[in-house]
Amino acid sequence: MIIFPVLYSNFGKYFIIITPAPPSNKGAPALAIYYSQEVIVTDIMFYRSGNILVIKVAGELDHHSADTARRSMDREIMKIQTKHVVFDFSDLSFMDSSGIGMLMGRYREVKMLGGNSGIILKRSEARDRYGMPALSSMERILDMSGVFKCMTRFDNLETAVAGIGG
Amino acid sequence: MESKNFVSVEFPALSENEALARSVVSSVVIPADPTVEILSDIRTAVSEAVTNSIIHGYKGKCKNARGNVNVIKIKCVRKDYMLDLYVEDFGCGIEDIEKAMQPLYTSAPELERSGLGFTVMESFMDYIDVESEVGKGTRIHMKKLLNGASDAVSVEEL
Ligand SMILES: Nc1ncnc2c1ncn2[C@@H]1O[C@H](COP(=O)(O)OP(=O)(O)OP(=O)(O)O)[C@@H](O)[C@H]1O
Ligand SMILES: [Mg+2]
Repeated sequence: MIIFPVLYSNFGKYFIIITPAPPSNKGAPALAIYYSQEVIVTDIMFYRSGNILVIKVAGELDHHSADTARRSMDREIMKIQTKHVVFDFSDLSFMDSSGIGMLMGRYREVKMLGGNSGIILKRSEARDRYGMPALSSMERILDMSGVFKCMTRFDNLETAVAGIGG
Repeated sequence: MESKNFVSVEFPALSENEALARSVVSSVVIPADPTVEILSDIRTAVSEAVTNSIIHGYKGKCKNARGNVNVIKIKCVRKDYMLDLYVEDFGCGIEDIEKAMQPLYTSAPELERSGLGFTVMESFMDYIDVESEVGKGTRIHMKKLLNGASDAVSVEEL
């Protein structure tokens, strides 16, 4: 199976996945647009900025993907030997309580090594049925779990990198 | 005009089927045109219930001691703006339901569970009922109003 790079964005209601058409398929348009209500691919990327390891998780974080994510994160945390960790969840489209366990587990590891943890979340565009701003499902789970007592919340990578190093 | 649909699915207790369960339920819910938030609340609750059956009900095993496949059943009924959702397993069952449902209670801290699953299901859905028998299995019944009018309806009406 060939996997093409996937770009996705949350246009209004559902996700639009834009993937380049297979190169062999000459007659096909340059971009094929698929409408879908979900993006199942979970992507984990690691970046390093000074003594901070940035772990970006995109897609859906459930028990299935959290198990894989956990293993690769622990490997990177050991290998890279940075002090602090920032979780970039700005492109995460779904998370359940498995994500909380995963976050808290990494938080404890990083803390034992003397570092701080931070989390990047997009400001929610959720509205209640009266059109008033509301917390997204993901924000409510994070809120309930008390994760924000352990890690600082940031809006974007720049503020996170500036804020966590300390 | 009355709008009605339902779906029943059965699948092995594999973690990759958590995404499948969310998709199936989404497909039944979407024709009622819920808000993004209502849809994602439902998807989260389904994910919690199915994950519990896999991790706790079947202890992460896809087959039982006799070599039979451990199955999870989902039934999802949409009638007008009401969603009825059933998630059922035939695993170990829950000894003390009240204790299990307490926020932060988990029997599996070594698996990095946080004990929030039931709390999420309770607060994201409009109704939840847990039936369980030790050695027989567990069935979760949840309801959600798809037009977001839940605070205007009492639980009795549901
Ligand atoms: N289907 C089930 N079969 C057997 N036991 C269950 C089942 N569902 C839940 N339990 C029991 O209830 C407890 C609480 O469940 P809950 O989903 O709230 O937390 P958790 O699964 O332990 O952690 P989290 O959901 O945050 O990852 C579980 O630890 C388990 O002991
Ligand atoms: Mg759970």
